[in-house]
Amino acid sequence: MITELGHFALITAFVLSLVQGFLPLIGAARGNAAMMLIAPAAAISVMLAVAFSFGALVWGFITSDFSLALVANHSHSTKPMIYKISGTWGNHEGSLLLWILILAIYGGALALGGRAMPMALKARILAVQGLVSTGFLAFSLFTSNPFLRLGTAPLDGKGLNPILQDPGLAIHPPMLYLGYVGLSMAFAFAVAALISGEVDRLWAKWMRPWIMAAWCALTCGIALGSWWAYYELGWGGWWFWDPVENASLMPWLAATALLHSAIVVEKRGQLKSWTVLLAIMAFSLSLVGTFIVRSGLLTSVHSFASDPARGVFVLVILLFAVGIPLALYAWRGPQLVTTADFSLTSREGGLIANNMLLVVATAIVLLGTFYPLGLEMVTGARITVGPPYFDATFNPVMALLMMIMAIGPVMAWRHGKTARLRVVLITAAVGAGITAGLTSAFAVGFSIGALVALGLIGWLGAGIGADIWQQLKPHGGAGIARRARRVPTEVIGMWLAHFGIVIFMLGAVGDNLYNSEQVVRAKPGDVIQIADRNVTFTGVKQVQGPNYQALAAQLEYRDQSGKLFALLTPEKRIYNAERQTTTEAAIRPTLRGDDYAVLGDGDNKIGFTLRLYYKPLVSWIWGGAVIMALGGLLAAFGRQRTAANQTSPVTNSTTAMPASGRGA
Amino acid sequence: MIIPRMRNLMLVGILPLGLLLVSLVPNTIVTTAANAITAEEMLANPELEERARNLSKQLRCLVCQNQSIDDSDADLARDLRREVRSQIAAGDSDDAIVDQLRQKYGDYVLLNPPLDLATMFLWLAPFAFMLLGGVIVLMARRQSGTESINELDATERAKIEKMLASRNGRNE
Amino acid sequence: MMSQLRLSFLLPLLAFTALASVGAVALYATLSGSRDPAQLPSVLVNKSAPRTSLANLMPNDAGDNMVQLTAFKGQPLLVNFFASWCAPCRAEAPALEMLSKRVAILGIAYKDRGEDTNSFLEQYGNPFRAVGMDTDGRMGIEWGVYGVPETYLLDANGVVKLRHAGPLTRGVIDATIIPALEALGS
Repeated sequence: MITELGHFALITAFVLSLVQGFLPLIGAARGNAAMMLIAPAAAISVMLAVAFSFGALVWGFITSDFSLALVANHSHSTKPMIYKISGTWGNHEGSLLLWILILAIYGGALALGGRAMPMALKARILAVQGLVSTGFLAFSLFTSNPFLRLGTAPLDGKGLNPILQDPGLAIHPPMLYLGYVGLSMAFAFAVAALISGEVDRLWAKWMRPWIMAAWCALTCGIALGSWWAYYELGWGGWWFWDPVENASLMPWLAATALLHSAIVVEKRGQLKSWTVLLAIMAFSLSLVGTFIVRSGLLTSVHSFASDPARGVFVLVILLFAVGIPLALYAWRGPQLVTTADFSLTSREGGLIANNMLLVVATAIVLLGTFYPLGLEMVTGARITVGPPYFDATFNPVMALLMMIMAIGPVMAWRHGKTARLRVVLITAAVGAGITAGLTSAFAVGFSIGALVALGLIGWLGAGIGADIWQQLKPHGGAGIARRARRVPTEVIGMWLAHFGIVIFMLGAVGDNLYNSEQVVRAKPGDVIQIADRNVTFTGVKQVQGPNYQALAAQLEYRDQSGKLFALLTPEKRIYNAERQTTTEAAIRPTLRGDDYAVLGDGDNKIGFTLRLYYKPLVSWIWGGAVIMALGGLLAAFGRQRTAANQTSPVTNSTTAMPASGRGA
Repeated sequence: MIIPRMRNLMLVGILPLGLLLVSLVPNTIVTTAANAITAEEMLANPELEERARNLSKQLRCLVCQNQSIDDSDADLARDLRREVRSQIAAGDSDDAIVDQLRQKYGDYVLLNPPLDLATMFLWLAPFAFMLLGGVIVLMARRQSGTESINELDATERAKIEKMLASRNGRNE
Repeated sequence: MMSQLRLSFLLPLLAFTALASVGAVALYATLSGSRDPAQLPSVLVNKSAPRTSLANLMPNDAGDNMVQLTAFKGQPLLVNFFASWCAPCRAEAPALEMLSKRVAILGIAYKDRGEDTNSFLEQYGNPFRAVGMDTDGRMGIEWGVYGVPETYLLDANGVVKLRHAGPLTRGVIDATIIPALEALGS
């Protein structure tokens, strides 16, 4: 019964979102307040309807209602409850409904909040949201209905892929979707602006929290996915340039460019057409990501069951949702161009470079991901574009970006050369020299690329440090505490976010350069040495889990003095219902590094294959991402302390005098 | 015709050049760790084993989705690893080994796309993108001139007054 | 100059159109069946088949311990890689049986043990003129085999004309094998 109600709610939502999509647009064009006010009302109703619908689906999973085809195909009665719930989105239809839910919640949130916005703008934004919702609701109802019933309910379900039965999976898709779908808000802002032809600073100001929320969620979502792959897939790797990973990276890159670009619009009224384009691009890339994952055209470990017929539907959504706004942009974009009143060596210039580099990086990833498909269409040949290609092309662009990151925020608006900049530049250069020098002196046998990476870490770290010091050091009678209070929260957020990148790079480089590895065939009693640890393999034990049986290796870790400091138990699991074997790596994460152990095949007679790793600083990868997200949160929602006593655009308190006194 | 200022040209020119220089350097920052090897497979000579591992990381496991034969547990991956090691032990060069596999399985087996006519666009594109980006930025600046604009004009001022008034009205 | 700038505003739309076209063409090809993402095109097509000399599963009275590919020159030949442990191979046994009446088939047992292969042939029938044993899979690598079953069609000169990866079904035979055989004049 509840399922049928859920289905009905979904249909209702579809109709309502149609209304939400069209009427307010007409109303805004005609200045008809009644029609415009339909938008928030419809948005809230759609949110409630989809929420109910999603709840009904979750209910079906919780109660193991096997008459629901989706539950029968993807769940099992012995699954732990949390995985029954998260199994709701562990499949194509359910995850699509989750996508729609989050879309509806964002729309409802804007409808409920956003009081300061002019009615027409709000109406247009919600209308665009409504149109996107309509497309996805149609996709769900007509090709991927989660509420389909089976004629006769089986006694039990087919179960969920064991690899997906994991806490990381429970959070990863919702977090990721909060990001992907959140970008639809910025997209709606941009399209609304293109329709009305008005882009101003207030528009950018209102857009900012939505961009930041989406960006933070996406950062966390990608980090979660990478971390999950690291511990779940048993390969010890954390990024594979897999098409679906690329699908999440591209919107992130565009969103990063967008959030920086929006700052310039808000504070200086410049880069309007860039910002509009980036907002459209970011969500378009989310949609392209959806296409990649659900159309079955590109093979990936992550893909849902592939179905080219569904791919057609997504392509149609893409054509409308991306094609029309880009056409609008081609037509209206030039009107948004403002005359530039800044030199290229200024903060605006730095941000333009930032935009450009991020767009180039995005283009590289997009090209690399789609090239095999394109080539196959043209010549029939099949090639692979794998990690070596992306490492060679993407990394250098990011390196350039890291260089700019240290000096861009320090430059003044309009004309950048200031004393503050000089100090930061010199400190950064010294920092780079030190780290590069230290590494080449002490480490042995690694690539020049690694040297460059370490130099960059030194550059950025020292640069940020220099900026912080300049802002906080006692000056003009004010002590550190007083000066710290005067720094705008968004600047602290920026420092944190950029610093997060330094931490991330340290993790990536540390693991890549200094990891240790031992692959052995061990019999019970053998001792293996890795890094500065002695590992005693005492044997395997049989373990019984809730829905699996496992063989667990017992590994005793001792340090150089002989003290036992850890027991790691990597497992090989056999899941009863799904009849699948998985390998569960045993990981002991610490700030200094991870101990990582994997159990391979074998038996007590010939011994077992053991793969032991020590990965220095690897958790800094995800730590860095979390710090970045925190920085973003601060920047988004921190109080604008300087706004109160400003008559001119917000600048940092000790920026050297803009333009005055110099010819402009 | 665009006649960009010397300094701007240098700025734009340096970026693609820098890109070219850095990309020519073997770059291994973001790669996966190894994992599917068993102890028996490994060659006795550590140098040869190192070569084998590096080669394996560049070869695709054909029955997996986007993994190298070094990473994969699949039977075919194991067979190919063994093949690579036996050829290394027999004294073949890295290029010869890769070429032999290409003869049998096609370019698909390479994780690093080859540099030939078909992939010319793929390899040149990053530089082209950078150049294009730089050119667009310069063109836009050239076109826009340098009038100062940041004052509110009468219409904008009126709009803001109206918005503030209606907002204040709502708050009270 | 203005028009050059305006052109750059068209770029995103053009790029998107290119991307969407690739996607559309790929989808069409996949849906219409002219492209099968699971099939890797063989590099051996239109090249001579690799030198193949394998242990004979069933040495005959003359004491032929080896199966040579060259022995089959002068006629079109199907080479079928199979294994007793391969489920789809059982499914394609009737198809092979039918084809064997029309064209000679050489079977290569891929990573299989002799006794298992014999049991398989007893149970599902033996459509092969001869069966070679590729116990370690090395011959498979020479041929670019990446799974079983795989079937290659060679012309009378030993040049590979086509490869099908996966079991031979009625549809595949009618669509690809029969036309190719006819083109060879068989």
